[in-house]
Amino acid sequence: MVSSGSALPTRTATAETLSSLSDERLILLAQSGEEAAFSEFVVRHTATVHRWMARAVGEQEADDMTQEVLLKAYRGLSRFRNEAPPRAWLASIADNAVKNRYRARGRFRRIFAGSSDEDSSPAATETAAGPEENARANESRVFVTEALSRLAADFRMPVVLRDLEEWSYEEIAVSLDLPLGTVKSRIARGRAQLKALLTPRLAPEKSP
Amino acid sequence: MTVGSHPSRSPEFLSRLHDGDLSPAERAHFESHRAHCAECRGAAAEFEAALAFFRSSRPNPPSPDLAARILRKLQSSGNRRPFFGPTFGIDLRWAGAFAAAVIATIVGSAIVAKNEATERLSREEPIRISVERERKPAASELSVPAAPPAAAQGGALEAPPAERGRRASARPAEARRQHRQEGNLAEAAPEMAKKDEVGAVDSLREKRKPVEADAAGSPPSRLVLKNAAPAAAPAPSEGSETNGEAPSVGAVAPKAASRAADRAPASAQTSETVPRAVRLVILPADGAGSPPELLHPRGAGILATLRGRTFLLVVDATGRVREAVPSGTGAREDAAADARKEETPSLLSLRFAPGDSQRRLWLRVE
Repeated sequence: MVSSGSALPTRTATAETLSSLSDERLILLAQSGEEAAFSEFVVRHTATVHRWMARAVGEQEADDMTQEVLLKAYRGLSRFRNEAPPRAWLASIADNAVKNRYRARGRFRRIFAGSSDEDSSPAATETAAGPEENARANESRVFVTEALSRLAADFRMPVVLRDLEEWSYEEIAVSLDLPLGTVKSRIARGRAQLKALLTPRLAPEKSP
Repeated sequence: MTVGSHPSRSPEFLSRLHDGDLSPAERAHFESHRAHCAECRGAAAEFEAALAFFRSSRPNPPSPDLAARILRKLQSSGNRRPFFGPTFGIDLRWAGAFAAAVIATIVGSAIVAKNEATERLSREEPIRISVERERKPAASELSVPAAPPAAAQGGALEAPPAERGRRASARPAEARRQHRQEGNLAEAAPEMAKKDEVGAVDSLREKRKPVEADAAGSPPSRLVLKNAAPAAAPAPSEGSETNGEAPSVGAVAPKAASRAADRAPASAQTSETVPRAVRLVILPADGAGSPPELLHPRGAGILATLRGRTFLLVVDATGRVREAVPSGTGAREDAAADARKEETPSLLSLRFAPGDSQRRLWLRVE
């Protein structure tokens, strides 16, 4: 989290006041032209969006994807209707960003056939992790990242929101603008894929 | 084995089992099944283990300066954000809608004002149209020497020499045919021939006389058909109706003369109350006989702006005006005439009675 003393260009003396406001109020202020309100919103949700992105696309790209999501939110402020919580709106933007990112990657793969997805490879992720990281936790992240990288793009954000963020199905349906049955189906299928991907990794761990 | 016999083969079932969404009956049935089914027992266990592993794996937190970097990025692109959103307290969407409404109001009011002005002009100052077609002069008129067209009409009407020559050769036959029907062939033929020699100018000069003179009982030799349209509802086909109904008067005077005399009083009376009457003098320019009836003198209001000018009209067999060439320059290729063609769209809206072939007519607006 960014400290209050950081030299952020848009943070003003009203930061303390803004920090006490709800997300909805911050967005309303931002829509009316109060730049500091959106800065507060960014500071408040950067870690959350980064967590989503670290799971959905891998930690290496999480920073860039987080920035992309928040920039899109900033540019789409006028389209936010306050019909859903701002975090649901953010999740929708994140979901689209993930799908777009993997559509682009799919095109890249088709063009450069045979190239491996090095970005999400265990080695790459391992390098990104700090040396002070617990080896076991690091290995778990590597496995999960690799499994998620193979998950269908449509399943990523629903699974992340449900199993990591513990959102309700209804919240996910509203956020991603999907029917409740579709959300449940996608999460069930995503979980089944995760199980298929993670179970081989889990088997050696179970053995003493 | 089917999914029904092994519920754990269904991803949806395992997901509902994990979420605790199974009904008590489903739960009891699965528990009893799992007790003696190794496959379902193992599948459920693996499912729970995989999700537990997934949930336990927490990503690294973002770098401390990520938010600051994002805010700087936002700041650098801040000017591009409010495409149509609030800017400086003004919502550009509403501002755009307001501007569109203002523009629509201005344009709409201008159009309405123009329409109202046109309607008012036609309602309050109706344009009267009197149409004079080819006349058949009396014997006394035939002795009038031909005046130079330019001198007679102020240069407004000139019949090309070739045109006149063609008319001179073509008109006797036409005149003979017409006057044979009148029963006075011997007298009419030379009259018409002379008239053709005099040309259109002579006739136009006669038409310049006030309409009241015709109405007051001018000699029957004056053939004046007045398509005197009422102000509110013009009757463009009036002339053609009178052509077929009026009785013949006298031996030499054509039927149309008497019809003109019958019509003239009404026209004259109307003309007195309407100061902006427009009279159209139409004469043949091709020597092919009487000009066709003018059926639809539309564009009368615009014709008023052409008062005092003469045009050569090319009328096709259907009665449509294909070309309207301003006269007075003597040459169609003249640049000035071409420029003035732009002033004659209203003439192209005139409609004449259909004929057998294309006609060339002189039209003078008075």
